[in-house]
Amino acid sequence: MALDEVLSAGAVHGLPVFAAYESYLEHREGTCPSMEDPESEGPYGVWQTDHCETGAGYVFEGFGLYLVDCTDPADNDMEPGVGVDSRGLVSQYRLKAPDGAEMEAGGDCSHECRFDVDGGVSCFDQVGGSYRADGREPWLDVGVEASLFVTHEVGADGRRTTIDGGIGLPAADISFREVEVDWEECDGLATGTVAIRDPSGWWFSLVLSGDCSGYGELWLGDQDLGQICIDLAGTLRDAVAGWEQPCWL
Amino acid sequence: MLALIATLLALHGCGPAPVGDSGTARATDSGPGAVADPVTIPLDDLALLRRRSLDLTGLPPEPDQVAAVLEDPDAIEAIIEDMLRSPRWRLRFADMMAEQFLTRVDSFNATVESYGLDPSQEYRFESSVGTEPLLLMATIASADRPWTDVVTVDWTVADDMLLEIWPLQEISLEEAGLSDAPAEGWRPARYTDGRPAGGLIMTNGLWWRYWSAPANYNRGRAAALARLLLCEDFLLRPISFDASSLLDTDSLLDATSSEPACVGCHNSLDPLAAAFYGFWWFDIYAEPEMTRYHPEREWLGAYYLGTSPEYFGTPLNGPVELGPAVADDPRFLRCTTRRVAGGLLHREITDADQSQVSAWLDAFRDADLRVGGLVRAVLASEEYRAGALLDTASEDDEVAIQTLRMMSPDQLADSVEALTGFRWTEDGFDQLGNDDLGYRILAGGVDGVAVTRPQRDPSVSQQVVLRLLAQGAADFVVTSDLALPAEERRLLTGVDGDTTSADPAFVDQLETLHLRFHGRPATDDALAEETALFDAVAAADGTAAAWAAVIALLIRDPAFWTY
Amino acid sequence: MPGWLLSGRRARAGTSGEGRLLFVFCTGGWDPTECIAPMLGTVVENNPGLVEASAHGIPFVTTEERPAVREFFESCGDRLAIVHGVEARSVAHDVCLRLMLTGSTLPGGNDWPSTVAASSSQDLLLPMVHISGPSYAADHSGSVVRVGASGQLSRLLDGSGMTDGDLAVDLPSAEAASRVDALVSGRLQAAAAGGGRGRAGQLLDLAAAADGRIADLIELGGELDLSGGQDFVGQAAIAAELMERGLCRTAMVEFEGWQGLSWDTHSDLPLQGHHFNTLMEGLSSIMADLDARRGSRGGPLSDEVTVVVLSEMGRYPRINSRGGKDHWTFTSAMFLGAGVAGGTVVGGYDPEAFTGFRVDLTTGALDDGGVALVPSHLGATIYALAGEDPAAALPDHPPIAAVIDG
Repeated sequence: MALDEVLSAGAVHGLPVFAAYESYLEHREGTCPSMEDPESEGPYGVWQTDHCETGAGYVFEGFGLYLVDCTDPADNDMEPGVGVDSRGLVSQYRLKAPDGAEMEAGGDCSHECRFDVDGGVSCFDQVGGSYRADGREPWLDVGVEASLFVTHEVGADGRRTTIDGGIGLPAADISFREVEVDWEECDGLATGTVAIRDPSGWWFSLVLSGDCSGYGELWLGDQDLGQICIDLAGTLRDAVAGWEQPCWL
Repeated sequence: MLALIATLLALHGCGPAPVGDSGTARATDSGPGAVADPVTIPLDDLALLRRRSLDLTGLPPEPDQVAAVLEDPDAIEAIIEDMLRSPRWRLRFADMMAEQFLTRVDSFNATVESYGLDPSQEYRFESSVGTEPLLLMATIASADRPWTDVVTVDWTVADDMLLEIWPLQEISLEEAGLSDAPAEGWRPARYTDGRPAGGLIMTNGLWWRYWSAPANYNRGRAAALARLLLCEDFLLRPISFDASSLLDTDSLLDATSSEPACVGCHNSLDPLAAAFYGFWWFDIYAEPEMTRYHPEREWLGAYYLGTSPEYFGTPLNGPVELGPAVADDPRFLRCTTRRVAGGLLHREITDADQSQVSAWLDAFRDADLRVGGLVRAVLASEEYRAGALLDTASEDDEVAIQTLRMMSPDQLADSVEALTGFRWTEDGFDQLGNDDLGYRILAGGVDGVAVTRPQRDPSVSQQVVLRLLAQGAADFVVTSDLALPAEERRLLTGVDGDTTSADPAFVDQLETLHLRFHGRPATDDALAEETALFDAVAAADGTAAAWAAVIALLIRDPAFWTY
Repeated sequence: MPGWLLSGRRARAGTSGEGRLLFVFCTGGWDPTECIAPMLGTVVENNPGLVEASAHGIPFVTTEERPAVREFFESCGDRLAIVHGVEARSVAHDVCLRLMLTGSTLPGGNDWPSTVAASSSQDLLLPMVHISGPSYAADHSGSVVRVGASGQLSRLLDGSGMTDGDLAVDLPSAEAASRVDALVSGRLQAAAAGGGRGRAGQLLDLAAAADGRIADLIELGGELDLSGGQDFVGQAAIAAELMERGLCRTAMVEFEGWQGLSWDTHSDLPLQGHHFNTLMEGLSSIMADLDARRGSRGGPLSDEVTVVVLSEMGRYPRINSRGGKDHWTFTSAMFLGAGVAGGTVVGGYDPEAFTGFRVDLTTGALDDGGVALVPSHLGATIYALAGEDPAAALPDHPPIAAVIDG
């Protein structure tokens, strides 16, 4: 069903968006695009241009703001022992590569993980807006409308991920309401509600059972439509595992 | 024609607000606005025809309509029915609503450049976006459809530009249940981005105007919906904050559900705001965000506002239920009644008009929610037909009853264009329809942001606009129209460059011009003045300039721009 | 010498002692704590680097990057009064605009500048000049002359607004135009004479009066460039010119912030610094311009014109997650120039809650038993500064006497 198609497109999160953006901005040349801080390096900083094309054929149109903070705990004077892996991207642009590949985006995307001295990890990932980038992850390649807020906590009391918001793909629009994945239980026990939208605007709610079966009850309003099964944890697993890898290593 | 004009001259005088005989005040005999003791003297038949024509079509009546009413005053009712079926009524209704919905603004967060369009398309872009919700309302109002369709249909209206830049697909007239196109260049269309049915409240045009700042969480949109469609204005209530409890984010959010000053509004406002998250933009200037509806965000209210969508206490299973909820709300019809009546009576309808509003609302319901039924009721009211006040009128009547009205910039531009063929544009901008470089607010209009109420009285700026418009339009007539063969001309059909004031055709032409511009025959004094003007200017500047002078005078005469 | 002065047909504003007012409106909601209302070390969060300073007894905050702020207070503080802690009583832009300029949330009101202009006992050519910014003049449209933010009135008066249009047209000869003008005037006057009681008569009276001003206005347009106002300082210069000529009593110009980026800084608080620096630079220029012009009593025009600087609301004391500040109902206002008790600060803000303190209207001092300031107090003060009777229009809201010199 459509829900499976959405999940099989991969976990929507900020890192693939940043990677796609960087792959274009790495090719900036001189004043194309025009950076607010001419001294800025690589893909980082703020730029704005109606239209420009580099000698190599990369085209930039719009506005972008990309900031990265990768602080090794050993270098953190403000909070000794705490590591920070943080990125933020404000998008209003259309980018083109010489091979014809394009990235088009509008929105606000951020990702921040803090690594405590005691080994705890606390992450917040937001993908808000409209993103499409050719040749990237399936969800990014087809274009996604997203309003997704994900937290991921690793600590003494376990390893948990929460999801709120929604994902819109050509296959379907789905919404997460207070979804939580407890990675300590049956390799990812999901609770909460995942809803899928009928094209006419009606929402079907899948209330996750909270047991390890992966089944949930499907509802339309107060009408019980039976049980279906989804593998939410399987979609998320690799993504959140990647977040736990510090950028300074 | 001569015989007709002679009859007209014999029957009617001329004045800015000609009134009939109060002793035979038909206006007070019928209609829901009728009162036992009239306080006004109704307009005479021709003045009433002109008022109705300008209010229903934005244009002065045609000469044949004038003749028909002179022959049989009851013909006016059939003429009104024709007007209500005409495409002009749609445009006029949209213009009337524009003064209240304020969607025709000079800029939106996205620009013509955002879509890669040529900058010369800027005016058209802004005009098309602002017109979408207005023309959708007008299309429903003029079609034989219940007004509740305005918030429930699964289509909108679009022109070529909107069809090109927005996710819209044209649909057939049959599919939309229409018998003719909404307006020239406009067609019914359906959004293809998954937005639910909801008519007006699912249009980009409305929510581009009433967009939400990030920290506003769609509350402004919810307040706009309540104000525009329910006449329920959350924002009119002055509030006093116990600000000491609002100084951190948590307590600020809590305050909306716990502080007495906040709860009254936010208990209703926030769940309604939650219904607009399909229009939520993560970047308020990003064209992809603004262009498309975002179905996957429909439940974001729970995240941002801590509430799911509700309509004044009734839970909604998503925005798909918002339109029907509005349609079922009795305030929606009452508010529509107030807006339509206010537009036709040229004043704010207030709580003091309660009983009259109820009577009009009954007529609206009796007409199965067809706007035409409501309009007919208002047009039949004593207040609408008033041309002067009786001694029995109160001081409040003096202020409220618009015994004479001034043309809006839309009416002025349309009427001048209809009569002369001249449209005042510069670089593609309609100069009476914008304020970037144009003259809309100088002429008494609204810009939708800084000036939000139409000017009901003349001002120096308005008179200066009128003067230059008259000069330009008059010159256009003599340089363009007069150059054509007589049978192809729009206005100066009975004369040519050699006609002098001594020719019989001259007076015929003057009298015809009076009928066209003022909707009634000229007085002898007026004809004499205009003949003298013609002769003097012809002697100095030639015949064409003389006709231009006469036409400019007719446009600036209060008999033209008031009604 | 222009005809309208030679003919003596019109009175000149200022000669009767009626005060004149130039309004500068900062649309979007300023953050007084970033400049005119120091709140360092309190519950209020600010941009980093602000330091407190004072001039002429008025404290303010600034940074080295905002040199115009200090210059303004040093050069103009002796004729500046600031009122703090005014509660707009809403946090919605539209409503706060109406409240701050009319004292009421209700649509259909009349703003302070149009009311003062309409109250004039003299027949002025341009009683109120609306150049840019908000305008509420439901009952006073006859007193308001709209110039247009890009000088549209100028293009109407010289005819270029028509001849530059897309359709080629020629304007009539001066003689032909004059003949038409005369006939129009005659018809308007005749219509007005027969207009009768109620709205018809009122409308036609106003039309006849407006028409009677056109010739003078065209003459004025020939000698004064009304299109020069590319920013609020330039627009204010047009207003000052008209006031110097005795033609206008009140004027409204809008300052939308540095580079037009709006005071509504939900996501970029540092902009407030740029906005205030540019505002203060502009106000210094405006005062210098008024100083250099001659008033009706022979002294500088600045002795006869009060500059009123308003914004519809303030900003929430805490910085939000986007690095900006959201709306706040409490705000400040500035009065500058004629009739103002210079070096005055009225009211203040609670350092724990950033709410306005009650004040003694006479002294301006904080007073628990005093008055909680609302926009109508500003309105009454404006009326008083203009020489109009505040009690007639706002009987429940006395003026803030501490702002008024003497």
